[in-house]
Amino acid sequence: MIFQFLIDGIILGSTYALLTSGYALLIGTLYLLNLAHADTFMIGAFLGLTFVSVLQMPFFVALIAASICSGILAVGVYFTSFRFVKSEYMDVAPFLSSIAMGMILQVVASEIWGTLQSAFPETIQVTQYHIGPIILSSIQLVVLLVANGLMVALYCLLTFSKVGKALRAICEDSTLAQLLGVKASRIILFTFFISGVLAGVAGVLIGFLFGAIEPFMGATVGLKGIGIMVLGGLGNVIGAMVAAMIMGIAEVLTAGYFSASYRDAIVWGVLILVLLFKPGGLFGTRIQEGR
Amino acid sequence: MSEILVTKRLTKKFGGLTALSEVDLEVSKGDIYGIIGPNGAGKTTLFNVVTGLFFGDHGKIFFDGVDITRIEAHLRIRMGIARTFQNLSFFGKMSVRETVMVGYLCHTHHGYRSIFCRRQSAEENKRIEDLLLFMGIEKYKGENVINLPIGDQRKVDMARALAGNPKLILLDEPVSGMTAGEMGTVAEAIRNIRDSGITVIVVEHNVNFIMSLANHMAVLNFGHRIADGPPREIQQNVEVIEAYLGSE
Amino acid sequence: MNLYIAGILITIEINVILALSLYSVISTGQFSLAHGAFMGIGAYISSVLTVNFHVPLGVALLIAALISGGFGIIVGFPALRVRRNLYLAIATLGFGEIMRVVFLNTEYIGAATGFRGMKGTSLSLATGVVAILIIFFYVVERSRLGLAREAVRYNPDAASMMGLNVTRIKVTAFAQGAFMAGLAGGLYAHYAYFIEPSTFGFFGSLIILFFVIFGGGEVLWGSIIGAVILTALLELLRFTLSWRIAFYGAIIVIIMLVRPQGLVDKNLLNWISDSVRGMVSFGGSKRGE
Repeated sequence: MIFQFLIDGIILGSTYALLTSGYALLIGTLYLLNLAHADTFMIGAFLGLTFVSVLQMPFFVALIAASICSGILAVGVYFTSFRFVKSEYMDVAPFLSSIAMGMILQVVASEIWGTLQSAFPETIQVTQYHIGPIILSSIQLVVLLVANGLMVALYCLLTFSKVGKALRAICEDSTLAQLLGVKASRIILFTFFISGVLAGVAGVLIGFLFGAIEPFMGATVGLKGIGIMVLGGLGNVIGAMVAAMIMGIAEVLTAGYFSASYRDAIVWGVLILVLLFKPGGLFGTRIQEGR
Repeated sequence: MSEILVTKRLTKKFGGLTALSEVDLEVSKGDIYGIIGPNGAGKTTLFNVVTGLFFGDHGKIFFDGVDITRIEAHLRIRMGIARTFQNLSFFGKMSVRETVMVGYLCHTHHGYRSIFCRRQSAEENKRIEDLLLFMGIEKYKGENVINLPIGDQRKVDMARALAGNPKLILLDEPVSGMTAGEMGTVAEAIRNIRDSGITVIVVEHNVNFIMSLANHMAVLNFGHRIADGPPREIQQNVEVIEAYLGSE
Repeated sequence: MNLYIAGILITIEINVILALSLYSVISTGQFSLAHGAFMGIGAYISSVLTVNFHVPLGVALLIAALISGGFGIIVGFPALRVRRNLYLAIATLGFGEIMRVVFLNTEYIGAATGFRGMKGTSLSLATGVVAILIIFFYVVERSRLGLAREAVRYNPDAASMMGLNVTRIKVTAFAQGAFMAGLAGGLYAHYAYFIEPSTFGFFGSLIILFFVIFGGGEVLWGSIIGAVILTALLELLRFTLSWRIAFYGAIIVIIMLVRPQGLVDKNLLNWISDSVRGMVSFGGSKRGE
């Protein structure tokens, strides 16, 4: 039983990881929270659904298309809520604006696709693989591979590429960011794009995994994503990924062994405790102390 | 007990950096005690640990005979310690008068039972004006502090520190950014403060300024106290000279 | 008075109380996304007291607000351990989520189906409470408590270096905020007749945040104006039907672009008082010392 839970947890965690690393990237470069991120995730899911069922695209093409559109959407949010909004007082203004953008996205999605759940079409033949005590469906396998593949790619991008290094430099030293000037805002734009792409993929995969999506799914998942990011350490993308796995497993185990209905409360409770005793998160923050 | 402040082996580390290392200090009542040292020597950290912004890693601090090593900052202040800030820490757009009043707040009621009391009573207003007069900045009382020139801002900070009737006042770079004339006024003010019974500890970069004022000095370098004694001795101390020359 | 107008006024007044409850926290430099939950605590406790135990409304509201304030102390203390407002946002968010789950799963208060039967919030009651609270805030602001809170807000480290007990000031303000939010929750419950957990979740906390930041977080009047305008706005936008929330959001996005400090700030207030002074002393503009 426990192995099944573990695998389910890892798969859930992998999708959380995609979503959370987007938050972590943005916090790291901007020290700002983008609350529209989760709704970008939701739009990505719906776009994926539309591409598959209405435009009859094959699954992976739809996935790529939806994620690119989500990336563009995230860039749009950058322009409406972050680029030109002076974060004067307590940095709240951009945060608030992003919340408002999220609300707008939710309404748009409700108008286009309805407020009730929409079924995500079956696009891949569902087969069940039996590996020892575990049952793994082909759907879960796809999610596992795509999500983790992307995380590895993200890690490589951050660690080895020029852009990735510049990004990490900006996280750690804002004076450097000021010196880079114009280039810094281009890098930030790119970061938004990447976070949007990740969110879009996560959305499609979640839809694919659970079979149904609705315009308000961003809300609950989004909050958890923030919590996971803090658990992993603010701005620490790798930490966020690991924390997401832990969270996914913890959620499944709690629901399985303790109480399904108090699951969220327990998870948040543990998160708060960690935050109190180790405010840097489990793996340490990657942003400067002074900010 | 003629020592107002004693530190024994005071040590403070920040991660891998040792800001203070085994610092012993003895400041007698009525001193004007100068502390000098190259940049990064730990002077401001010393003030921060003595006033309680941070707790030290080990070592002890005694104020007027009482062990204050583990006492919280605001309680230490209420015992009679006051300080000024090198970085001129003020409160948003607060006026000069109100800023000075904040220095006195901890000695009056400022909780719910005081909500019907105006921010400054008539007596307190008088006292604030006297302090501003003492520092030569009475014309600014209604202005926002941050609009003032730096030299005058430092004077506001000093007035504010004096408002709480301290026994000991720690001045952190009190003449940084001032003209020679302003420095003269501040030197005069410091002597007056000492004459009124308050012990003064001054941290300054401007060595000449301190040498002419202090009756006793200590020199910090890399967190260590490398010398202490009257100004004349310090001037001739080889290690001190090297420390300053070496840091250029 | 027309029942519809009375209802709008009551709603506006309850929202003003909520905005003030959050302003209590913000005026000491802190942050909270838990105020929806505090509102919920006040709502449920007062409702149980009046419906199940027939406690008079005034007493029930007071008890509920005090308990909510108690929760404010419980949340406020650990909140001090976190140095940044971002962490505070997340911790309070977490508390809100925990309370949401508790509300949703407690059968005694109706769980997901909610609790019903409360009545008693009249326009005069709501107006009375709002008036008392606004006067309270006005008085505090001009007092030395206000000075202490202002110091803590803008520079808590310096404030502690001047002898102020920053911990006590911050926790007290936080508890005050929770108390008021609980009071607002009780008033709301007894106006709406029916309450359910979803009202008191994260979204509720966000709406309260909107009031304060949109209206202007720097000054007291910002919170009041923000609550009034946004509540009225939502009502006026009824004609846009299902796009209502989208228009609401768009207005916020626009204001944040154009005036991120919110509608009312200190400069505006100074300008208003200077203009009034100018008008009163017709022509001869002699500025007194």
